[in-house]
Amino acid sequence: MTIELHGVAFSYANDATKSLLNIDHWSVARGERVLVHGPSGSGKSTLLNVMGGLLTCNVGEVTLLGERLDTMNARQRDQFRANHVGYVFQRFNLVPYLNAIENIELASTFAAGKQRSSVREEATDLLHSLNVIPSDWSKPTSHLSMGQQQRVAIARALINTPEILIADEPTSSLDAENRDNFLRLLLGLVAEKNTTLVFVSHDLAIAQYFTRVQALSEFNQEHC
Amino acid sequence: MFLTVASKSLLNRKGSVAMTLMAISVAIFVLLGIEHVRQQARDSFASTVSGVDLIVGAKTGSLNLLLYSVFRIGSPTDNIRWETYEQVVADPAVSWAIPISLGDSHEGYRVVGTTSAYFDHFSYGKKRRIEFTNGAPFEGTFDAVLGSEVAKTLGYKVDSQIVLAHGLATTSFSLHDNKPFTVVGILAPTGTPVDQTIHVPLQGIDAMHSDWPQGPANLTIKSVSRPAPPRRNRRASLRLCWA
Repeated sequence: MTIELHGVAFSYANDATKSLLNIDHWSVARGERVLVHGPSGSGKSTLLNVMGGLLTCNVGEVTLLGERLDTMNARQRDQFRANHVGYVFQRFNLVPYLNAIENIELASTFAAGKQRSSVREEATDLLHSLNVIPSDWSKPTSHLSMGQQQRVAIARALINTPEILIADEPTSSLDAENRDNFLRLLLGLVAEKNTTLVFVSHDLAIAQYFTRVQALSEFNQEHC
Repeated sequence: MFLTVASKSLLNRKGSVAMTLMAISVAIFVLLGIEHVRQQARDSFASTVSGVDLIVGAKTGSLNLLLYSVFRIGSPTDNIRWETYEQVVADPAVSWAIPISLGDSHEGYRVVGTTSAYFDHFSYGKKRRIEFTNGAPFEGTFDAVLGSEVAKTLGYKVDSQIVLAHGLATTSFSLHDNKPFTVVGILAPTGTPVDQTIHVPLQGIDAMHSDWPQGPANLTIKSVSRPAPPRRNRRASLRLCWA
């Protein structure tokens, strides 16, 4: 199993009485492409943050690639995430004053064991395959359109060839046609590298692209 | 990589970086400036007069007394009687005292009426005595000793005649022109208000303000603005203060 959650409970500190996540058991196998859907505010993003090690759960075990994430300290989690997890955020979180190439290179400097010279080549390859035109590569990312930023964000998430790709509603700001184009590109790259994908969205229209579609409420018992 | 990120980040917020730099430099400038001024004020204050334990004057604020007696700033308020001065000097705790009488000027420079005790005891900086570049302390009633700056600015030499004016204004309408003084000595530069002072004998001040003829045989001094009696020890001077 690539991702395994066991008896995970999570609540935000400012609202400790309400347990947002309460997952008895949930797992994702290698190469699976999972769509988790559910209404806004149901804890989808929280689930991804716990899985990606951005948040630590109150109780339970989070195991990624056979390693216990919940027993690592913050530094170890960051290093693990840099090496093994690609993350596409809802708002992309690109560094606005760096250009596309620099954003991608920055991500690779945090991962261990990468050659500086090969990074630029890989970055341009990725941008090529994501249909980002070369004239946009050297613009600060704040000057790019939403669609272009999204592609740069994907390229950044994939530069370290992670085993796991986590995507948090990256299609929410796209129209149907662009969304489909984008998903085709993303899933093409994911399939090529046999990456495990966990994708979160409230939009069930994209279900056809995934090997498993689950509502969050199926495996998360909300306790109020 | 991180240097690139840092420099691009700074460039991206040029405005706030510039403002921050400016604010920091202004703050440092002010801090250093104030510290410097404080140090200077302290040094100059400490070096203006030394070896004096007590300043005695007529009823006034202590700051005002200090300013007009030591720094020659502002006007003296009132005189103390000569008997009081004698009483102070007679106290066994007092080793020496310098009487100072203020209120006249010459071309804007303050005139100080005093006695030869001034040249014997007055010291500044690290207990440095005042010295003469030319001439000697006054002996006659109408002798004057000039501070170095007075002599230099007004071009006076030993044997020059000067006429003192009543009051402190540069242009005075009441000149004591019937009683000119003769310069008998010029002091070495000290870097203190002494440089800007004209020293005359107390008898001279008194004679100037009376209608006495020149050469008073038995002139008695009526009052002085301030005697500055330094004490043998601080304890004794404190005791005297309370008395």
